[in-house]
Amino acid sequence: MIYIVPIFVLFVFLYGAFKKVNVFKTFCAGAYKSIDLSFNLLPTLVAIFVLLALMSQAKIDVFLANLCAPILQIFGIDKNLAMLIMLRPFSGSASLAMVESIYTNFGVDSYIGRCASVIMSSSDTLLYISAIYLSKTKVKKLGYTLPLGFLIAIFSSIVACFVCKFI
Amino acid sequence: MNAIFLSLIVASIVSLLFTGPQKVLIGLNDGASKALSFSLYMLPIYAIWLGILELMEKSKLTEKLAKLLKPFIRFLFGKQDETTENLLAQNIAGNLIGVGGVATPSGIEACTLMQKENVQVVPQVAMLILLNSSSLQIVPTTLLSLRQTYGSTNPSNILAPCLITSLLTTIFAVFMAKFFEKIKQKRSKR
Repeated sequence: MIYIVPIFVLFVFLYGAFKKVNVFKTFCAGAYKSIDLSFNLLPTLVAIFVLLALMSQAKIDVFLANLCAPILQIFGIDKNLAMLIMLRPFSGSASLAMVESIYTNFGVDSYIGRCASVIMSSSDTLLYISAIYLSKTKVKKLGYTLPLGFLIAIFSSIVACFVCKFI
Repeated sequence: MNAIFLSLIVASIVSLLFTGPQKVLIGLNDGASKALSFSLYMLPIYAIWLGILELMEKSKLTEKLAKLLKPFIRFLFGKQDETTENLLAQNIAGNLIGVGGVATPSGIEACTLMQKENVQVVPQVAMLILLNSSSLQIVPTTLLSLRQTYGSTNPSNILAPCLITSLLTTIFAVFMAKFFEKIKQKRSKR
């Protein structure tokens, strides 16, 4: 598994050279976009991190985690992942902020840190996607899409926590 | 998001009014400065992967991947016209390698084409949305870098669990989407 990233990166660079793309210029052009992206994300991140900090000062995060604990336990999910699982379908930056706070509080390589990583990368922001994908259509009724989307998100969290126990 | 944000922030501040009002300012400051340092962590990570993704697009690697996906798309969405199929392929290929920039515009186009004038969501559009929100990404690039930044001894040890979880979730999503589509068809026939 440790070879995947190096080989992937090497392949992309070599393939670019093979296709006669200016590798250096193109890489820089792509990297340049990160400035816009980070600064556009900053206000949202401030809002979310302030929220998380206030919640932890007021111990509301602990309260919520304990509240969800009995339900989550049935599915073998650690209670400290409750906030992340709840935020994931709603906002990408909020869940990223949550992952960061899990990394700092429990450690990246802890079981919870690994679960958080897998949950983060194996589901996506359902509400944002449905809003933006339907923005040019005349859809008024979403039918089963959203409830099913939430069900799939919960399913993916359960699988993530289960798989992380063994690998 | 608005409702969640508002209720949680009000609940936090109200409860802090009773337990320690001085903690409100601490929370505000801590949160905001943490947000800044976090986005400074993220900036170089985004720079690396956006650079690599730009290379993949310019060298037409994304397009090549899209071509390989055609049979898979026929299975999921049934027969569509050439343009729609290409858009769907682009969307899924973009998702697989985690290029939101490629995936989103083609996803919007594909949805608009498949939805036509219908007010109720057509099954193909529901399928695309569910597929996208179950996340198909093979290598979670930015997350791997983030793990490295936060001092993981082996950032890649989440690759196998990620792959297994993504695969199972996607199969589950496809199965459920097809299942609900069938139920709906049966109901409308009555």
